[in-house]
Amino acid sequence: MTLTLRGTLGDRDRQLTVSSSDVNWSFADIGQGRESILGSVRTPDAVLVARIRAGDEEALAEAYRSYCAVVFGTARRTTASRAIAEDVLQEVFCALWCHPERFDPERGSLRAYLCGIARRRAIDFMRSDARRVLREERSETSGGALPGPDCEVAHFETAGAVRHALERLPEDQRRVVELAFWGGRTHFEIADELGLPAGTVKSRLRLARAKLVDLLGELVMEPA
Amino acid sequence: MSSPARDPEELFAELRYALDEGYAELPPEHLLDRILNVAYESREPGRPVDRPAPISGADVFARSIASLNATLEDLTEADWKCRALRGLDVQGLLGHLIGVEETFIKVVSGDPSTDSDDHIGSTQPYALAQAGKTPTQSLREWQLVTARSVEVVSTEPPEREVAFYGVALPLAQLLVIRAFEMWVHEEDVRRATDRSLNPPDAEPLSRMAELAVALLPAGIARAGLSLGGQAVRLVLTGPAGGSWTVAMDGRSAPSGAESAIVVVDTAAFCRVVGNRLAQCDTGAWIDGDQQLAADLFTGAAELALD
Repeated sequence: MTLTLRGTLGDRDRQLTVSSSDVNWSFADIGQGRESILGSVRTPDAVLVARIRAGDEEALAEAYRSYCAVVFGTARRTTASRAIAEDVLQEVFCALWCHPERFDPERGSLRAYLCGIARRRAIDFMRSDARRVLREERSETSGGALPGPDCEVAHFETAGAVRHALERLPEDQRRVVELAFWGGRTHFEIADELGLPAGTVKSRLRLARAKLVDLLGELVMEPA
Repeated sequence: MSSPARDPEELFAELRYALDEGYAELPPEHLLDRILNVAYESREPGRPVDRPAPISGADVFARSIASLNATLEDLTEADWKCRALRGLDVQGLLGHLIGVEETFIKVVSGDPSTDSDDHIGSTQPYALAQAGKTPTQSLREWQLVTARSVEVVSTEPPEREVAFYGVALPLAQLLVIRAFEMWVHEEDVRRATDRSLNPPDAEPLSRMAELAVALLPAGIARAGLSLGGQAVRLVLTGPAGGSWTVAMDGRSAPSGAESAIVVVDTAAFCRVVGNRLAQCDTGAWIDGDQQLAADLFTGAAELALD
């Protein structure tokens, strides 16, 4: 597409022709997010990470405020240790700051990316601790990656299976899961959006989680 | 609503961590400062994670000349006659650049007769003179004058202040501005001859963007905007970019005092500075005070020399 633009410099008008192909990538295409540091809308993940790549320290603080609770919760549940979870939390956000290019918004949300790092680092902490305490019991077979969902999920009509499972949840649980999963909201945002206490949102998510483990399988859900 | 992930494993991970919101737990408040400090010690804020190695103003200048030469040497006879800017064909536009370069050499050499601040009018004779020449002659004239420029600046200290068209800057920065203008006009030529537009490499573009950001308050003042006490966080994306708190009145403003955030591709921002792209076509993401952000773009376009 070619556009004709008019600009002004001093007392001179000028008319220029600019092709839209001059701009390789548009942040405007991403749309608005849900909660910002300046208002009520958060910065979309792709923009937030682009800011971090550019060295915007406010963006890292914003990412932390949005996702520290779920990252810390993930680490704490995996390690059962508050102290280790704090170390994991630090590693996760330092990794985001030092290697933001590793996040690919095409492959998932920033929350999933950060929680994935948290979980792997938490497992690393657990393993190193286990090695120290139970060195003899550590077998060769347990030294590799944890059982992953790769093989199992390969047989699923994945998205359809998830949708079908979500449809079988009670309405109040399904709503919060949809907002968290498809909508990418944090539990604080869901509570705000639905006018519910944050604790109610969390308990509904936990109930939904237990039901989805039944419906989709433990390997898929990797229960704590 | 669309799926937040495509791969089955990623989709289930997405669901798993969405459900983990049910177990979210705020960490101790003091961790925020500790974690941010550790992160900033690992990587300096303000600069891109993949920032290029710094290069001198003279190198930026030389690379812009080389890039423009490559474009000019690729032109056909017909391309030289394409209308490019202000009624000038490509050859006439090159004449304008020859005139700018002649003036630049005189200024750097200390010739007191070159006190014009009319960037376009003072070069018009050079532009019009190209009509009687062949493209090969114009190109040769351009290459000779730029070779002289490179030679002249090579003997001058980069910190020496030079006044050029009413703006006094250290020579190193002036060379970046000269390079910027060459790139803008190279894109004029490429646009006029239906060639694709390519931003400069990250090394020179980084210098151009950095200088443009530093000059933004001057552009805002030139636009007649009175924005005392207000600040914008400007984030230029890509390896040549960075992150700045821009005090709209040129005074210092602390990080966190911004009323708007502007996130925009570095080359797109530089095209605004060259007055070749409007804000609405930059693909910028803006949060906060939209008018203040628009004022920033207005000030950016006021920096154009044309």
